Amino acid sequence: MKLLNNTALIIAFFFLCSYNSFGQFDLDFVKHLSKNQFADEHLAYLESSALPVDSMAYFKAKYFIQYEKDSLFFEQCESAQNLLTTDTLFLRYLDNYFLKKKDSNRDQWFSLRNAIIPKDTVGALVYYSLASNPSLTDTTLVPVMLRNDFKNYARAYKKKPIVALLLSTVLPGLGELYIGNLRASIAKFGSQTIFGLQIVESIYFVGLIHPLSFVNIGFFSAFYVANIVGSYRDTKTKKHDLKNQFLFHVSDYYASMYPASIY
Amino acid sequence: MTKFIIFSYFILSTLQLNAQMDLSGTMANELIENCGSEKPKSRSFLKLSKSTSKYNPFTYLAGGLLFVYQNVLSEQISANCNFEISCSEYTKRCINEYGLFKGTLVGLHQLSCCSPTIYKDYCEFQISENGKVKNEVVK
Amino acid sequence: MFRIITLLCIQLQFINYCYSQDSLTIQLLALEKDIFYSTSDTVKNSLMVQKMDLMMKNKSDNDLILKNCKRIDDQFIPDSVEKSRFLWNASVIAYLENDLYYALHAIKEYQIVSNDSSITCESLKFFIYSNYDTEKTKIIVSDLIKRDSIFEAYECYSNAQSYEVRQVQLKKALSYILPGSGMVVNGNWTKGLLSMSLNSASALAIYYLISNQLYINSLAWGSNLIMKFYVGNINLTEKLINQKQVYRQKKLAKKCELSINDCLLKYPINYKFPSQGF
Repeated sequence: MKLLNNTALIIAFFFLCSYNSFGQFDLDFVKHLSKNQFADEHLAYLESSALPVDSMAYFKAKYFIQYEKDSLFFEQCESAQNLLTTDTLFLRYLDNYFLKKKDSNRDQWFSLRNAIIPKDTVGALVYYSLASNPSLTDTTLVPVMLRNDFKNYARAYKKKPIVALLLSTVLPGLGELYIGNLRASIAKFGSQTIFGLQIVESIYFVGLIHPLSFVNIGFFSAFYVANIVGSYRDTKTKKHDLKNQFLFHVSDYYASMYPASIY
Repeated sequence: MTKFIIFSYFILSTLQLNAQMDLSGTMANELIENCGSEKPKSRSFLKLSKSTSKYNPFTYLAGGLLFVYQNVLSEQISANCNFEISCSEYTKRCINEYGLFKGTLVGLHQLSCCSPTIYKDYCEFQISENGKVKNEVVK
Repeated sequence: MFRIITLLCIQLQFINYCYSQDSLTIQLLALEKDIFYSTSDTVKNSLMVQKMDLMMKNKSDNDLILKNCKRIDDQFIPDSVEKSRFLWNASVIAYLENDLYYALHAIKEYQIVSNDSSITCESLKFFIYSNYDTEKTKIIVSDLIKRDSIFEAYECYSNAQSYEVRQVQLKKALSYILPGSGMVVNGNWTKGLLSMSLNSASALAIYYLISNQLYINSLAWGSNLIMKFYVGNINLTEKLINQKQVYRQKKLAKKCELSINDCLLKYPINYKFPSQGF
């Protein structure tokens, strides 16, 4: 009995030490902590508050977004779903935030957002769906400020890597010109032309069986093949880059036209 | 036993109350650190993670050439690449990622594009603050 | 009964020890809450000073302490002792975080408020000024040496900082005239000789190409090799001269490190807490 009493006392002490309550939850104080970026205090305050599960998840989601912990944010999303749907300003903030993020996180957010509000016709969600298939879209849907980027992306979307590869094979630099990399195409065409002239000159004056001819031919062929492979790869990456560029500008456009905030 | 318990209690208490710290070492270190930097370390040899590349002797030849270039020749020509990951470093990483043949070709492709105005071919978000093009080896 | 109470105390102490970091955050949060709800600027600033003390005592990250420190407006600290204590701590923490302008501002304010001209204060001033004003540093050092000869260590550091490589212009000029020779004179034999051989080998190669009427090859290789090696040699010489200066300064400064440590052991620079009877 005595041992039981002691154990109970120890457990009571343990709880007294670990339990810290800060009274009623104060949103203004949370805003203050967020504004001054007191990360540790912010999290400690949220954890010590006696909030319902969904509210706790909602505030933690905001906290993780502020400190750019995306994976932890997604963990909170399920519980916070109901509150997220009502906070349009935060949703808009999230849209802008994820438009500038890595592809995987961006896709995860927009698929989640689509599940939360499937019929949402405003916001970056529209542009995100535009970006996934620009060839089907009428450009008049896109705001004037974003139209140029969208056209560039839509144009690059139609380009085929195999065409760039074939063009590079025909004439070095032509593949890069096809995808719109003017400087790269000039650099490649220039360097290959010079190597070509060097080969002709060296074969004419010192013959084919000569170290100089070997060096020149070696350089020419290595760069020639590299340019073919490079054009093929560049066509793929260009699409991806221009899509990101468009989405970045959508994010900036939304941030300036419709200001959003975490709190 | 009681004495031992009381003794251990006070030991534990002092552990927490040991708040007065000595900054002498930190201050002296900071002073010496502010004076200048240590000699830069030489860049490493090609690291091969894929087993197929490990048994190819030409991979080691390419790695050796790149090592010599990076540690001996690049400073002799004041190499200043227009990409954030320099052409030689990029080639090294590509060889590790794609193997000798494809890796070398991808590296040579970047080298042939490396001109001072190349940033104009890239999107705004791909240009770093120092005007270099951000590049990465796609896995 | 006595034994049970002691056991419980140990238990409490142990839990506190294990959760010390958490309890610090809780304490900081409690203080932050008080700061937020207080309406008077004086109370607010006094609480912020308390928070800063707590962070320093618990060895929080210096950047966090400095962030908190920068929120405090010393005009709202009415007590001059408390104010000077804050300014002292602010200058120490700013120095440790390499925020020299803030450290400089804080130490100047500290001297105005406290009229302190003690050896420790002058010593801290030396630390801050050593990265900022060499002339002022020399004055502080000479003043400190007059008070105690142990501070010759600071003079040693000051001399190390003012070390300059000799014949810089000559080395640069040599690199223009004969590639690689500037580096050789600077003491970088291998790099200098390599530069010489690369430049001369490429010059020979170009001569061979021209003599064989390979003009396009000579132009292409010449513009690529000779220009790069020649310009590279000039840039590398300059870089190596600067590097030599920095390394030598660092080496000389390292020699003074032990004696600087002795100075700091005799006249330690520490944070000032209220309990120290300042």
